[in-house]
Amino acid sequence: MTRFLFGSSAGGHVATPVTIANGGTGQTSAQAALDALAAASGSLVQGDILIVDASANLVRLARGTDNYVLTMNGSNPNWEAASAGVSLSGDNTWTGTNQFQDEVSISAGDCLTFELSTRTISSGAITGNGNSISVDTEASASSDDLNQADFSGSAVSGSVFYLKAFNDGRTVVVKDGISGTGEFLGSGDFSLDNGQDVIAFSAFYGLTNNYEVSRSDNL
Amino acid sequence: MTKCPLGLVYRSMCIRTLKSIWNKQSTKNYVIESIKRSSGNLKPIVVIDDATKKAECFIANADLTDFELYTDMLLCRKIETIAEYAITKHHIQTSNKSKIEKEKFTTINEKRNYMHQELETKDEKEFNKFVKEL
Repeated sequence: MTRFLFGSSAGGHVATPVTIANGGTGQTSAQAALDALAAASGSLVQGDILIVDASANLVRLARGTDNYVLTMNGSNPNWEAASAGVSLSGDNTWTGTNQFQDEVSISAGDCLTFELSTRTISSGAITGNGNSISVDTEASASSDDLNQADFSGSAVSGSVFYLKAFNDGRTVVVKDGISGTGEFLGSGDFSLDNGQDVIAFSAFYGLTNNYEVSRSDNL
Repeated sequence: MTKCPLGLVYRSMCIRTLKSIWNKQSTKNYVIESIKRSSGNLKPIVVIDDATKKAECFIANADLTDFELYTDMLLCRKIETIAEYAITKHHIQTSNKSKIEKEKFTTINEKRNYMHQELETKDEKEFNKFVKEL
């Protein structure tokens, strides 16, 4: 039997919708049509999704269990338990702030974690922002004292950091035992007098003190 | 707080400076105060004669009121190997040359007089001319 559908020219939809029993939806709008079909299926519930099966039929895939992920299993997607970890291959880049809360180990290859940053002394102090810091004098003075390095905002207790002079022409004197947040506790003052001088500290004691680890200089 | 005098250099094994700086009472006072602040600063002070480039050592006395001669020929000899470096660096740092020039020539001074490396002829000439103008 041939069926004829008559629609109004103004609204673009049929005047008398075809019922679901006759292959229509019984509705006059898209959302209502989808809702009507879902209800008519008798089995779709919240969280279910529709997929295409091997016979090109639209079939229901029941919602997955909590914390399951949708994974392809042959030609069909399937809800499966998430694996314990993610294995990445190839080159990957993380941007933004990322935190590893448990152990991190490098099984092969190189691991370079220190990136030299530059800090300029302001009123005898710098704010720590990395493990390897090149320190410049305030207003490019020929010499300046560095009394504290405050790591309280960007480090965890025990973090190790290295200081070197930004420039051979500007001497930075790291001073021992000047009280304040990020004070240095070591074996005396140390002039970062040339490009070969380096001093290392560990930020400890609630990040309020920096304990000297070692210093490297010649004469 | 008093800043460390320019040219008074705190090293691991000693404090080194030039005679022209050491002769100022304010320098001696600064060193005494630094020792009182941190016992790690109690170490030989090696003083380089600006003219002869010879070095002699001092240490603070027991009362931390003054300094006395201290004999360490080896340390003096070591420091004398970089006397030219220390003197020239101080001249550069206290000069009124531009920041860029100071950066450039302290680096060359380090290469020539601290690491004792040979400079290229062009750099040697330029360095000598710059130092003469200080």
